[in-house]
Amino acid sequence: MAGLLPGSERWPGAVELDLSSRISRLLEENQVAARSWSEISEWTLPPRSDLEKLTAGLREYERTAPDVFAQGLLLVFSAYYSHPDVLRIVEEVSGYPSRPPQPLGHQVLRPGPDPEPSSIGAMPMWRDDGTQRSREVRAQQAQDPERMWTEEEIATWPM
Amino acid sequence: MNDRPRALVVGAGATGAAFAWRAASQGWDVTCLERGYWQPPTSIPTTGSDWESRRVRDRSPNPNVRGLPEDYPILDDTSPIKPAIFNGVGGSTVMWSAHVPRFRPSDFRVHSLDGVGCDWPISYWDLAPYYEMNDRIVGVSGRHGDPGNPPRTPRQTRPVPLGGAGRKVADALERLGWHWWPTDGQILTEPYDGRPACNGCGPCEMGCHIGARASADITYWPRALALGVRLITGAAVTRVVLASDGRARGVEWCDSQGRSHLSEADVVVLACNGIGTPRILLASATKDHPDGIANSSGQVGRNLMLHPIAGVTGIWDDRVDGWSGNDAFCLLTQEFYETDESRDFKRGYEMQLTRSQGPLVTALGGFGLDISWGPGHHERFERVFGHSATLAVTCEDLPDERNFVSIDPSVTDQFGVPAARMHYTVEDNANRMLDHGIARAQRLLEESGARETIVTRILPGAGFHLMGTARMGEDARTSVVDASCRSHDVSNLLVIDGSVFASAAAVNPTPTMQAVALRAADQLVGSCA
Repeated sequence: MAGLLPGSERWPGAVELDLSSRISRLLEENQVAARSWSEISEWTLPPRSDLEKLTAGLREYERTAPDVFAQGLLLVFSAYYSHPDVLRIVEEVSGYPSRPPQPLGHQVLRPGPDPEPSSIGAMPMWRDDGTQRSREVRAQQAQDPERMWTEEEIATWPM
Repeated sequence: MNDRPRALVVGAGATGAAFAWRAASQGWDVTCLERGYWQPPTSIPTTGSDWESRRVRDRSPNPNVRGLPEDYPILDDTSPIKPAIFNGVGGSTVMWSAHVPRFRPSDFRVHSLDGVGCDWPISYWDLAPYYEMNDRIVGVSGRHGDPGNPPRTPRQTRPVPLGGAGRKVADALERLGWHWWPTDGQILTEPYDGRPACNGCGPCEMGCHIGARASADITYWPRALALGVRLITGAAVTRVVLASDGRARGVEWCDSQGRSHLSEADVVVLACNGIGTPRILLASATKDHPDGIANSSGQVGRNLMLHPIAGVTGIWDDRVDGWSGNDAFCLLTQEFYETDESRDFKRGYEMQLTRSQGPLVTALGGFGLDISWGPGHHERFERVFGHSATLAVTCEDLPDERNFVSIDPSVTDQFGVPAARMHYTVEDNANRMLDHGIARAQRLLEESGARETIVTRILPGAGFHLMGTARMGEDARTSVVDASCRSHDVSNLLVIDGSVFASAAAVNPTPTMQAVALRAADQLVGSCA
C-alpha cells in the first residue's frame, strides 16, 4: 500500500489511513480478490522506508503477475478512494462533492446558455438512399427544415 | 405452466419488452421468459459510499466480472472487445447510457450504395413510424431539426446540458465548420410520463436510481403487464424445441431451483441479444439439425458486429466537471459518417462527446487517462480529475463471417447449456477508419483548447452493441430471418434483437432494435389476422 499510494503534502498515504476494515469488507464479497490478496501477502518487497526500491519491486510484480497485481491495486484504490478523508481532499481540489451520486445528483457546469448548432435550418446533409421516398422527404425537409412533424405524418410518408 | 400463450417471448430486455407490449396491445396473449430478475431502485448502488468500487465488481457491465447466478458464461479471450450485457427485466437497458441516435437511410443500403456489406430487406422508411412510436413510449431528450438526419417529431424533452467540455467542443466544431448536434438520449431533462428529470448524478450505466433514464423495465413493462402479458423471471431458456413438422413447439427452460419446464406456444420469439440468441439457436441442435436450428444457411452466429470504438480524451487546464451530468453523451458529430471516395475506407464513423468518471475510476486510469500508481499519482490525479472528457469514435463494423459467436461445450452454465464464445478481430476497413477518426478527434480536441490528448485505440469494455448473428435478408441461403424477423427455416420462430441487423451503421443500435421489434410485432399480428 505504501508503494501504491505514497502520501504527499496534501494527500495521506494509503498506510496512514486505516484501510484494513474496508479491505476486509471487499475481500469478503469477492473470492477472486481474496485469493489474489492472499498471494500478494506472500510477496517479498523492500521496506517502505525505501520508496524507490519498493516501487521497483512492485513494478516487477506488476510485470510478472499482472492479474494478481491488478486485483490488489483495485482493492487498495477502492478502499482509499472511498475513505472520507480522501474524498474531502478530492472535493477541495476539484469541487467534486464528497458524497455518493444519489439521491442529490450533481449540478452540471454551465458556462452560459448552451449554444445552438449553426446548421439549424441548413439543407439536408444525410445521404439519399436511392429510393423515391428518400428524394421526397429530402425535398420536403429542404423546403421547411424546422417543421414540427407529427408522428401521424411520419407514419404516412410520403405525404 | 398450463396455459398456452399465442406468443412466447424469450428475453425481457429492450426488444422483448417492446414486442410484448405491441403484440399485447393488439389483443395477443403473450408470455415472456426472462432468466434474470426485476432490479428494484434500491438495488442500484449509487447511494452508497462504495458505489464506484461496485461499478467495477458486482455492477460491472461485463457478465464475466459480475458473475451473478443469472449470468451465463461468455468466453471472450478470442476477442479484443469484451461483452457488456445485463440479464434481468429490462435487459441491458438496466445498465446502459441511453444514447439513441438513429440509423440513417444509407445504413440500410450499404451494398447498393457502397459495394460493401449487405443491404437490409427493409428501409429506413419502413422503420420511421416505429422509431417515433418508441420515442413516445420511452421519452427522448434532444432537439429536432438535425439536417444530418431525416425529420423526426419534436423530442419529448430538451437536450441534456452540454456541460463544461461540451461547450468547448461545440464551439470548436463551429470553428471547424463540422456538423454537430445535441444528442438524442433516453434521458429525461423534464418530467415526462410520470418520471422525473435527470439530476445529473453521472454513472447512468449503473442503473438510474430515480427513473429519469429509460430502461425497458420502467417504460415498456408496466404497459405490457397492464395489458395482461405474463412475465416469468428466473426462467433460463435452455433450448427451442421443434415439433415433428419442423415448426417450433415451444422452449425448454429451467427455474432457479433447476427444475425443467416445457412451455408451448403458437409462436416463439427470441430476444436474447446478439450473443444470447445464437447461443440458444446453436444449443438447440438435434440429430436432425446438428448445426442448430434455423441454421440451414450456416449464418447463425456469423457476422458478429460490435463497433470498434476509440476513446480520445482531452484534458483542459480549467475545470469542466465531467463527473456531473449523464456520463456518456451530450453532443455528436456525423461529419465523417458517410463514404467519401477520397478516404481509404468505406462507410464512416460518428464521434460523441462523453463526460468523465468519478474519483476511483479516474484514479484507476479509466478511459486511458494514463494515471499511474506510485510516486506522482496524486499530482496527476489533480491535473486530470474534473478536467477531462472523451470523444468516442464509433466506427461502422462490416459483416464478416470470420467474426462470429460459437458455443463451447467445455464450459456450461448451471443448467448445462454451453457457453457462448466471441470470435472477433477488427477488420482492415475499420482499422483504417479508426486511424482517420482518431486523428480527427485529436484535431477537434486541440481546437477546443485541450492541453493534452490521450488515445485509447480500442475501448476493450465496449462490447455492448451486439449485432448481425442471425441476420435479416431476402435470400434464405445467406440470411437467417426474413424482413418480418421470421426464420426462413422455422416459420413460427422469430428473432427480434440486434442479431437480425444486416449492417451495423456507426451509431448505438438500441432505438433501431426497438423499432425493428415493434414492426415485427405488427407484421406478425397482421399476418395472422
